[in-house]
Amino acid sequence: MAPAVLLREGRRWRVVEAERPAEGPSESVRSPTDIPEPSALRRLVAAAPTVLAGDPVVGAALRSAGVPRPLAGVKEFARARGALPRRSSAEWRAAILPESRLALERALASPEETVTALAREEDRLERARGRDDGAWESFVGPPSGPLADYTAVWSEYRIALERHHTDLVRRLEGSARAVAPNLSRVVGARVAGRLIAAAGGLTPLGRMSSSRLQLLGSRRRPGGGRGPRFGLLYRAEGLDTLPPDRQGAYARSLAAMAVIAARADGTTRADVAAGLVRRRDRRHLQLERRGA
Amino acid sequence: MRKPDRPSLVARGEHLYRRREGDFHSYWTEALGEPAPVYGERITSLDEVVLRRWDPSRSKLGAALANDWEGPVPRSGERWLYLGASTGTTASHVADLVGMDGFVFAVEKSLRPFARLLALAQRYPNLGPVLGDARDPFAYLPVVPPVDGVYLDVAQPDQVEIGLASARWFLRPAGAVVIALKTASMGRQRSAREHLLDATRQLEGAIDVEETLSLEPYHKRHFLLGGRPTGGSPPTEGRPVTNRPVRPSVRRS
Repeated sequence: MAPAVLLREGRRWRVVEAERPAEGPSESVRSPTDIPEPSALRRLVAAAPTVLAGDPVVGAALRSAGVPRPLAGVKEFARARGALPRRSSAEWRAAILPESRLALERALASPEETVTALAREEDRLERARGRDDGAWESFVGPPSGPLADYTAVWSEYRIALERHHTDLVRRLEGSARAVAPNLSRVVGARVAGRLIAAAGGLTPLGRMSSSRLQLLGSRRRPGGGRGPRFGLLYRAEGLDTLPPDRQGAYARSLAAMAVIAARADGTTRADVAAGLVRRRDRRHLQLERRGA
Repeated sequence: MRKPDRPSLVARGEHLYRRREGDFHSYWTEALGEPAPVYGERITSLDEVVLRRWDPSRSKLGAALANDWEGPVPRSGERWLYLGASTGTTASHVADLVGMDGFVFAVEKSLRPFARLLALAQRYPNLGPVLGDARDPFAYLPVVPPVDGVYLDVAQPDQVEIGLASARWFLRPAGAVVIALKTASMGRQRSAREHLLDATRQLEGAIDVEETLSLEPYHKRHFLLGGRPTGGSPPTEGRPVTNRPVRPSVRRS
């Protein structure tokens, strides 16, 4: 079997059979000196999406140089480099700006980014509501008069805010279930969305160790006395029903399963949730009984 | 208490000004955007030119200038590749420095900072934002022509390698390389000095480092390295862009 390499295309990884080792720099590269190419970058390059995919000038230049798109190797890059048209700054700007805007819009529209944005917004709104609740509790007003009018208006606003929050949570959960079905079932959709947002995407989340995921979003730092036991996971279902001395152990197990689920969601999209949920519940039961 | 001087040109033909403030210099650049302030910095006008104050605690290159930087500085008319532009705080100053005849290609990977960078570029005539990863020079190679300078501020463990690769692919002969080294991103197991030593060794043979400067007290455990490729033709003749300040600041490490 031919060795395969993983190539990145935007946010995705693609498995490609390795054909040949990367070539050294060719003569036509406008290289100032023999700066060695670092090992990390000496990997095979393919399918590099050109930012200027739609730019007529660059496209024509690449075609005339016989450079296929996507570019397939270092040699093609060298040729593409040589074929670059001479342009003034204004021309470069005019070419780059619309493409950059498009690239940003495309990237922001991806489901993962939607989850990230919704989760951040939900977090912000929740904190705002917490502050408002505190103010509501400490507010003292008479039953009638202008202050009472104000309280009535305020209470309407609070109801509207709550409705807004409920709607946001619903959107977040739906979006998280679509992006990470397994993870959503293991830790709950809302926590799953927050985890994805904190990690910066499903792929980075899947690359994490379970111990890292367990502490993701924790405010306390290891060191000193007792370290943190969980971060964002503290919202996960079932954690609060356990006595405090067993919550850490549960968070540890839950993180291990969450990482498996996140990896499945980020790569194969296989349905692994059923088994993980069974394991999770068994572990929960076990911890509940322990010491009882 | 002496009155602060008016900002004065650091070198003729450049867009960099400085003003004595007490024992130190503050640096200013000619604003190209409208409205002038980009990140809430002070502005002033000088003979129909609007100047923006370069906040050293917000910008690593600005901090280096305040610390008496003698390495390469973007000059008027040059093209620079700026990797890790984020929201464009420093990139806007670099764009000011290269002026209308120059251009700055600003590469940023994160979407939210990039959105702000894009908004900034709408009002900056010589700033080209590119959504991409500094690790993948090939992704934006077709967009960026050979440049006179590469500025790298990516805060990654392998930032020196990334800088070398960018220089390898994008730099013109005798171009300049400026690397902002954030040693805290290179692992906390070793001291900042050890990281700096490592970085210098990595650059050996590829880049002749002209200047290595600690950015204390503005940025902790940060260094700015500037140089030119080994074997390239010597730096362009003429006056250095920055002169020594009134009182040389204490150089650390």
